[in-house]
Amino acid sequence: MSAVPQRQAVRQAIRQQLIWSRLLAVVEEQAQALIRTAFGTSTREAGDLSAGVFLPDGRMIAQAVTGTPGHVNSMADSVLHFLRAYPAETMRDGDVFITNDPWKGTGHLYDVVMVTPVFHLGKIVALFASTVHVVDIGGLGAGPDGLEIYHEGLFLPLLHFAREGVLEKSILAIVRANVREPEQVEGDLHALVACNAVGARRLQQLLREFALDDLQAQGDYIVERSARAMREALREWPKGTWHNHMTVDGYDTPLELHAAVTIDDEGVRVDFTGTSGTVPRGINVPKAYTDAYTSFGIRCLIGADVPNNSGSLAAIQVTAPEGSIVNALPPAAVTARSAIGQMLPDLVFGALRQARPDRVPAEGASALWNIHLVGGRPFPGGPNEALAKARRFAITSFTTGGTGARPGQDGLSATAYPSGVRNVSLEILETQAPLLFRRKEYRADSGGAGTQRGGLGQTIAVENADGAPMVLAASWDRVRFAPRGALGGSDGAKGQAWLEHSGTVLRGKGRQLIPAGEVLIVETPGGAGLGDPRARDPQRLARDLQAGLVTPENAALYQPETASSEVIA
Amino acid sequence: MSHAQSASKNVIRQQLAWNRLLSVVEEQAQTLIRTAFGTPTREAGDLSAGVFLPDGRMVAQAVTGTPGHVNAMAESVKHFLHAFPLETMRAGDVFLTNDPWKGTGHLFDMTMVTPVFRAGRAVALFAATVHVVDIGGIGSSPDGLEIYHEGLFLPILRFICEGKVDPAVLAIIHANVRDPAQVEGDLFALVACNEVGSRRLLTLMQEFALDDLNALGDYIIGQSARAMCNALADWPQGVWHNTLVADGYDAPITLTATVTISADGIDVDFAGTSGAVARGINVPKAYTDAYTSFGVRCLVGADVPNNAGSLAPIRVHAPAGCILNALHPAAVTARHVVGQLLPDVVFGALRQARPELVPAEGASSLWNLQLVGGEGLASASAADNAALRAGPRFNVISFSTGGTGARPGQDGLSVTAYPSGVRNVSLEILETQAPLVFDRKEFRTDSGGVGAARGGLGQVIEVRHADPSAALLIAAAFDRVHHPARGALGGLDGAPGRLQLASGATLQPKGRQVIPAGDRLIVETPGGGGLGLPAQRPAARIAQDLRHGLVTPEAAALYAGARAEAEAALQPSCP
Repeated sequence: MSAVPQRQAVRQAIRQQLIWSRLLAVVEEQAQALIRTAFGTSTREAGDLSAGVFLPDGRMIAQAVTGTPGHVNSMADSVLHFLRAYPAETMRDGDVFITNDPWKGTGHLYDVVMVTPVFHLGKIVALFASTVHVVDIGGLGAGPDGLEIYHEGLFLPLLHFAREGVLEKSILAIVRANVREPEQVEGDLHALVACNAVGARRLQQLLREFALDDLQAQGDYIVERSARAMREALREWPKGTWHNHMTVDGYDTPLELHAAVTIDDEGVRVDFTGTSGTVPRGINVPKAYTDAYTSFGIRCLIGADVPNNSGSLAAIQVTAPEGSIVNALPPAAVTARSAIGQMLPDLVFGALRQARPDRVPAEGASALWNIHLVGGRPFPGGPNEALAKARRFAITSFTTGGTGARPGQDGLSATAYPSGVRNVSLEILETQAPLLFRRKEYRADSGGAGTQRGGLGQTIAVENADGAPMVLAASWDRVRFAPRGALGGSDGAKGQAWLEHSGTVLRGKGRQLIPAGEVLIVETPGGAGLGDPRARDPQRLARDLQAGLVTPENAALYQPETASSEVIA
Repeated sequence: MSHAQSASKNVIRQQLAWNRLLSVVEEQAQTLIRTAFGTPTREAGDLSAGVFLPDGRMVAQAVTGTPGHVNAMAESVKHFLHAFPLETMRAGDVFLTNDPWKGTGHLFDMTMVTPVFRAGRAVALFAATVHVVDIGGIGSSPDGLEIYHEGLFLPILRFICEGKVDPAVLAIIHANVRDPAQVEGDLFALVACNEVGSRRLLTLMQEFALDDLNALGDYIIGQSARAMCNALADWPQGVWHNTLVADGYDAPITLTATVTISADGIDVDFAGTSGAVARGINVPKAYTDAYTSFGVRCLVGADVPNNAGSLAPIRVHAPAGCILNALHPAAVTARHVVGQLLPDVVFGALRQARPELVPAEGASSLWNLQLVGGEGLASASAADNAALRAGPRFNVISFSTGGTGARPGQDGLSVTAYPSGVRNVSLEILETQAPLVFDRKEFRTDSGGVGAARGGLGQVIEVRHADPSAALLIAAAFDRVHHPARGALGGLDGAPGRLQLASGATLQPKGRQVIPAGDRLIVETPGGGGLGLPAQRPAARIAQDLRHGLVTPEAAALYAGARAEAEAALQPSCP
């Protein structure tokens, strides 16, 4: 090969890498535009969103790192559904499409997905998609109490939200009539339109700057490079099939989650055969969300540094029997699908640990422990007069437990893995609702003991600042079944919640009354430990004791029985 | 031709046009019945149809239809005109809402409005309403706590824009209801019936060489208002009070009315009525207005056609936030349970003015059996939930009724929907629509209140799932279980309603409940109250009741006992 074509090839590769990086910056700016313009706290404060850019054939080529896997990876498929309903050649400049279909979007009605085609030189060159979790969508409201999707609020099938720049008035009118917070929801919808428009503008600039007619070649490059990187990453793993199963709380009866993970030349296959069936409560998981968290779990272990796109995701195939709780079909209720779906990385980890024990963390709290409180609205059985008089509010305090201990590192305390959302600061919540947070602190001893300790959960005490009754909509797991330790590590602490004065223990799932004057105490689960606790570095144990993360009573777990007194001394 | 002759010809012409207009809206209603998909419209006649002037005043209304729809729809058109002013309407536009506060009181009722154009000008609006089989949400039951639980809320929308259906609205409806094909069929039946009405109206206008309907409308409304004034002249002026206690959802509800007849009409004021509750039995004001004015018009000017003129002299007041003027976001699905008692409330006041004209209380609220299969229930046991989900999905309403109150000089009507006017749906139809077997449907002996005129009888219905291994749900919304229809002028109360399982358990009158696999639901609907002293009932009518099995010998003894007592009372006492 002569030097000139070789130099050209190198230049071409550099150029493509540059465009790729710029594309990642474009989607990041899209996500930031969404965060800065959205009205709802879940987007603004917790980062419960996603943003990405797609080829006209529906393949995702770049995705903002800001965002949750449940949104991102299911949105990746969502664009294909939009294109099936509205083929690319029928799309016009200025069109914007919308859905909150749990089966074609991101798994529950609260997530609104908006897709905007981008035109360059008169031709569709890409689609921007983004998702937010709106504060209300009508129906019963947050929580897993619905029996079927019809109970859970307004269902927007795949629709034109704007046609050639003109908003579809009827859709906005219907949305406003069906949600409890029309201003906030409308604000979020326009934020989605805006962030896609920002992305589109930046992309058009990029195309002009690099003198590209379209993104086809660049997209192929990104997808191909990423697929290759995944294949390379997979080479570090043995081939074979491994099984794991986990029991989770369920709504009122425990559920079994089963996974068989196979690594072969094609990639990774995950099969959930054997998993419990759907239940008449809102904890069922549409397949898109199962795919999202399963592939996220795998990609945390295999090719974690490969950017997320169709190429890197293609190596992972997920199958689940129709009608199982991880492939729930309409009209199943799905509002709190996160309570099950966010367990799937742990389920996959348990299988992959058998292949590479040195690479895999222990189980964590995993599913979010969001504290969803509602004021001023009726509750079956009352006290409805007092509730009706109280100030109206509905607030989600994004709340987390501890993550599982990691190879060589402790678990992260009070951290949302796998969802990646942030805790919303109490000061923000206290300005938005008549709530008074009395306590929010690490929950000592909740991290599972191990060579690496599990991350700690937290203790939160909250009351209604007006002394009024209010309603808790709980969708918490790990109350009956703790995060399990691995390789000799201990389990994390189970989560629990109760009322301070009466001592009433609350259920992990469902709407429950917090009577006037009561204080809600929530203790979120800790992550599990990894490796034999007795092998823990004594300095790290001493530091935990000093920091109050572990109490002297609990420190005994880390010592051979005969030597326990030394540490305490 | 003399002036007087020409005036009288004009009157005849206007009367002719009026009659034709009434047949136009009747044809509109018949088209709806013949094209609708849902049983409530097709079989039970739960619908309304009417024609309105461009300023929103109703000029004619089909007699086929329920007061809750008709009189609420009468106001509804004004809301449409407010949202979409006449000058923004185009030929081929059709507007839609199910807003309970701007339509007919709950999300199940779809109201469709179509403007009619002649020579480029809007000359009238046709409006029609049906009760669709499903609207999403928790379904048909009073269990919702707020409107958000009760299904899809369609604000006033342009459903069809110059002949082109808004695909988004249709797609959203499809996605949010459990039976999209039936609901869509009903929507297009509404479009069709308004269109038939429009076509007939244009023919009429051509035939009578009318450029617009304003003069004819003013005539109809003026004549009707005058007729109401004449009818009112038969009534004394004054103020009368009445109170009725209804079962409510879990606590009794007091309905209080003050009825004032004055020179310029009738005012009904519901001040003192209980507040709205956190269950779906609250009544939006439009529906309160509808049943109140219907009740009044049954007694005053009953033969005057229903339109803006005849309705105008009746003014209804209810404090905002009371159960008869429930505000958004109150739950309202079963608003009929309370609203259909309002004629009885009004009757109780007006009886004080003209005792000889007013019936006794009846079952009044419909006793519709809303039966659901294939869906779970939150409070049910795991076994019941499995049995509920074992059968196929279905959702049927068996429109069912109790007895009406005894009427002056006449017995109450047995198993008749007063005031709603809907028909019972035949069991054979229901059995083809859902896996149900009706084992029994018959008059409920002795349920009519004893009196000189006897209250109408309720009925006994027994129904079960055809598959003995499957359970079903009853979404109950029944009143008159704890508070029966009261007799008047010495007549006795009708029998209270009852709801139980063949296995023995008594069910709650309101809310979704399981009929377990292999069990059977037994419903006994309430009887109407009696009117006048039982002692005054003619012996021949008692004998006839006995012969027909409407009254058992034991109950007939009540009449004999009453007569003996009455006679004893008349005997001079011996010193």
